[in-house]
Amino acid sequence: MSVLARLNPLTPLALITALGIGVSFLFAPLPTLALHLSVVTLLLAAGAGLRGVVISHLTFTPFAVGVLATNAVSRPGAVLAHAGPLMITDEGVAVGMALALRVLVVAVPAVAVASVLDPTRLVTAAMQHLRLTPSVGFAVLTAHRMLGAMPQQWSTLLAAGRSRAPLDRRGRPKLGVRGYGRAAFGLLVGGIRRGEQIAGALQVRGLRSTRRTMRLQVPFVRLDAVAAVVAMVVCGTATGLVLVL
Amino acid sequence: MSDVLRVRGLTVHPRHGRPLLRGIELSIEPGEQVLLAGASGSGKSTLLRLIAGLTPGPHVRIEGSIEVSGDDVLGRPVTAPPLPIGWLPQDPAAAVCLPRVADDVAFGCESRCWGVGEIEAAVLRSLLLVDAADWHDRDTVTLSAGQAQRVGLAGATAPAPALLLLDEPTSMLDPEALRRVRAAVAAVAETPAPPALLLVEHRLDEWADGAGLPGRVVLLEEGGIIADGPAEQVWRDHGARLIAAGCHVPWPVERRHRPAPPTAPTAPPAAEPVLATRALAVGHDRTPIVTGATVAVHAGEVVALIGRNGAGKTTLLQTLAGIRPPLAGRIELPSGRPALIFQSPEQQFLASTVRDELAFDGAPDDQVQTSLAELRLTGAAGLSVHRLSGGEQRRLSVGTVLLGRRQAVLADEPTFGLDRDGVEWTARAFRDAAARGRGVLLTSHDLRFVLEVADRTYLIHQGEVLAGGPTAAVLADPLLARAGLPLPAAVREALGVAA
Repeated sequence: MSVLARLNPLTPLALITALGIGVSFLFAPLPTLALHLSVVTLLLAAGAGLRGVVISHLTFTPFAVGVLATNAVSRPGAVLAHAGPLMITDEGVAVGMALALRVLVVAVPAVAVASVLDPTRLVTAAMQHLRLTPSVGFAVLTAHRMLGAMPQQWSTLLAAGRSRAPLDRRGRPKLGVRGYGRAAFGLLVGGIRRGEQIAGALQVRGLRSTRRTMRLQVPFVRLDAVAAVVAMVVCGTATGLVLVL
Repeated sequence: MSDVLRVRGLTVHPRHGRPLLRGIELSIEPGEQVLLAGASGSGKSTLLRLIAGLTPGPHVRIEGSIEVSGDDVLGRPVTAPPLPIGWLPQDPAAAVCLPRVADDVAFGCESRCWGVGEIEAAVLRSLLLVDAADWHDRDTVTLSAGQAQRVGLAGATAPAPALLLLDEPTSMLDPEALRRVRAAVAAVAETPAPPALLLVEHRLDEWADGAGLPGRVVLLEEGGIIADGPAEQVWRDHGARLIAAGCHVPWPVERRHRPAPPTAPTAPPAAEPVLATRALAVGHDRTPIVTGATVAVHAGEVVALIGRNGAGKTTLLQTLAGIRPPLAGRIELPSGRPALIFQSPEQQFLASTVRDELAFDGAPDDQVQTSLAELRLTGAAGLSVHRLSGGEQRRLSVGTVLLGRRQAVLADEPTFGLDRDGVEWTARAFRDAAARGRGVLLTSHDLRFVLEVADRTYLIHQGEVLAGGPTAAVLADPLLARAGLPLPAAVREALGVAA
């Protein structure tokens, strides 16, 4: 089992929150890049999985590039180059790179960690340590399960629409914008109905009773403290060294 | 001995229309088993929901009282400890709500503040009872419908309820999954201190084949109890009335009022195929579920595909409908793309009102009016399709597809959740469509419906399509039992085969 899977789920979430606060004080690109590389190294060492880290980079890189491009042409400073009517400035590039890297520093670990966290352990830990009420916690878990089924339901609704939609000249169904709208409405109605049924079933089983046994426990253990210290030392050292040098 | 359930003068008034329930008086003793029977819309589910502490909908006025083990149900705060009730709903997705099997089964015990050791023991005991001990740590998303219902039953019985409410728990299951749920319920009833059982169930014939139906029957009609007594007496006094009202009744009861067992339709003369496959492989994400499928449907015939849950029937239909790409082989559609009737009617509605739904494919107004009458939906023409009852939605979903112009019609479990009247209507609708020259390919777990409607039948077993012959011959084949499809009593009598 990976280190991430053995941690209390609140530990990586707290570290990511701290990371978000810490990175907001960094304005130079190189220290931010050093911080990001150390975060990525820590994620891989903790077992986040190379595939998840790569996918989260691919997901957020276009947004980061957008942030860089917008800042590069919209800030004052010494002109580095011309892009048509726009001027690329040195300050714009520096600030843009720092902001773009900030996006990656926060978003990449958030997505990579979320994809490996066990939802039951996360909700249990939140109920145990953050006073999340069981009715909300179990509702979130149930909603998570329903959300997982929605892509399949969406495909089924589109398929149902295509099975009756008029055919074009090549014999293929024409669904059109209205078809997608009807499918979205069907997904909404089905979700409400399914949610109603599940809420009823959970109510009969005592979802909202004010007292209940917390059978599952997710305590903080020594590994959480070690992981937190290692993460802060590695990130702090890497960023600090680049800042000093 | 004090009653587990005591209902007194229960009347439910909706904002408009007749009462949903009228003056219900009902008592159930500890460990007693009761079948709640009645036609669709008679109030069975409303009564069950009220006993479970759920309101039947907004804007209703409720009179009377319900007590479970001496505790008032009506007006009980939702934050109070749960009543000693176990509840297994029709939809497996609602029966199991949490991601891990053990956590879901433990939920009711946790709500009752049991100790952790007691809870773990109850979880193991309940899973063992429903023959699911190996699923303790399993992800609930991976459960089939039948498996989910057994886990749901384990969750309902783990907190040792005094009253177990089963609301059509097998309506979505194949015969083998039904047999296993039925066996699990029988195992619960044989425990040292079994809960009282209140069962609503359509598939009485298949249910009666196992440990038997409850010995007491309560009969509802238009919201009121019209009979309450030993099963044999209620069936004898009211069997004919129930059959006339379109209810499912056990075959021995139905047999007394029917001149003959169900019969297969006469096979039509050979005609042009509307759909044919050659060595077709279908599946999900390049993983084949069915391979080498060679199936043909001709104009004028109804053909059935039967097999266990997960055998690949729905995947095959969706591939034929062009929704999924075939993994290998050929599909020939000389009459063009087929239409597909989906398992859940709500999934295929494309318009907001009943009238618009029927007119969607360009049917002229007079044809829409005729269809409304045929579907018995004239009074609901202006209603939202989502406000119809389950049976009405099913009739509309079949009607709209048959109003369309596509020659080949595919139907996925078109009778699930329907009463006997609805099943017979659906069979007639498909036979009429075939008589008008269309070809119908359907899947069904209801083998009596298959016998009554299908000229030919294919069996899907272990990833292969087998035995594509006349329906009676396929159903009489001993292979069916080995494929986990035991025949219901009516079909056994019709075919002259032993149980």
